[in-house]
Amino acid sequence: MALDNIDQQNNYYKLSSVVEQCLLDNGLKMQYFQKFLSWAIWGLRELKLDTAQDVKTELITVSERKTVAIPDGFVDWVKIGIPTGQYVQTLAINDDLRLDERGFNPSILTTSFNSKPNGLEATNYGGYYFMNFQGSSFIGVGSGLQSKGHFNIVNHDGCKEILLDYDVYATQIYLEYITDGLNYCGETILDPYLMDYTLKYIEMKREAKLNPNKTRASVEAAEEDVYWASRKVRARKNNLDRRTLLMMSRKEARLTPKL
Amino acid sequence: MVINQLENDWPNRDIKIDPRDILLRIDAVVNSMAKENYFENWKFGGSIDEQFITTWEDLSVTDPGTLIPSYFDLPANYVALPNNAGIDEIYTMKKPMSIPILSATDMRLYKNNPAGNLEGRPGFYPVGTRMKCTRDRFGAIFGKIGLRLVIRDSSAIGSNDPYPIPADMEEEVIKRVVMWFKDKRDQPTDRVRDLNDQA
Repeated sequence: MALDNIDQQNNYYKLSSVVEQCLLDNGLKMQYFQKFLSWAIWGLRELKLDTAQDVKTELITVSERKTVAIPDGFVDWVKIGIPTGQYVQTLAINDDLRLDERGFNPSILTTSFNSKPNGLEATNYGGYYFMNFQGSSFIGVGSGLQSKGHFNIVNHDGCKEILLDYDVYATQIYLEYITDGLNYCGETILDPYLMDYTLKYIEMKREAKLNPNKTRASVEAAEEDVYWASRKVRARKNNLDRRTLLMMSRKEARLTPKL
Repeated sequence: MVINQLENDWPNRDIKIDPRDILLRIDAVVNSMAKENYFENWKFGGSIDEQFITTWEDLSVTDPGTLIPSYFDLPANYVALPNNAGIDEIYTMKKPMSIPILSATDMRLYKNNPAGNLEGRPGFYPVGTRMKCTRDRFGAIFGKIGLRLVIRDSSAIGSNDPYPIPADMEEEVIKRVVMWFKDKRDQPTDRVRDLNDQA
């Protein structure tokens, strides 16, 4: 769990750091931390869902019916990987790409990966990075299993599921998906472009909700600051899409056998 | 100074007021002035003055068990200020970090809110005179804590130590305490202990 030790390193781009900056600016104490944090998260979600999406990887359990409940905050999927021993094998990537664009050397794709319980052939290489898994990233070997990478995503009135093929052997999968990128159970690390917007959003809510001396003009001035900050974010960040992500996360690397 | 003004003399054998009563009254006056200071400073965007705050350090947090929230008991009552501002700060002694202070109701209301987990941080909320944690095993993981309360408690001050009052408020404190004892002395009562108090 995050913060099991109180590690003060890498403080400056945490969402909580922005919240505390706002507390400092207004001479307030930690009684207001949770309120300001909730405002910051709502403001960020509002911006991130259409302007500044992020990618996230989660490890999810596969049910007995070969279904996987997709986390909330899901916008679109990018790739799915299966943990295999100490490695991760890419099960599938989003099928908008043409088959001949998958991987660097399609001739070495293998479907016999499942028969090696402890690792991979040293000659296998190529794969994709799975991004933003608990603040880090890892490589998934391969470019997708051609015979096994089939599944459906269904939406049951807000509860989304992945339906895997009957013969997919995984009990857990790694799902990389486009989302708002916020981490509600641990520290959210913000893109530097979003720091200023977040601070101004909290200030706007504080002015509207907490300032007993507020006027219409002061609230509107704060809202205008937020508007211009969001315009700066839009100018700096592009909308994230699957193709951009896949291009960015492709990786050629040779794995070494475990000794 | 208070006895000098009330008795028109320095403390002597004939003093009728117990000095301990005076200390308790001074504490009460200072605590009420702390509240005034808080709202006065609020206008300028600041918080309460340091001289109204008492700090306790190396307090132990009790871990009742796994999945049972940790807690510690407050060493003193604190001044009633908005948003639990009477609890000025709770911080860890190991790698000092301020801990969010919640209210008991908000802690439950925020469960459906993205901020409910406080970005992975522990938080404390008061239930009576006990501070409960939002997680279990706080003491085992984070160790002891420091606590700052808006309270003036003279029992922690040595009899020969200076009583900490903001310099600009000394005269006001003495004046209020003297007025209080004068009003009390003016209340009529008889001295015969016969279960029949008559003015």
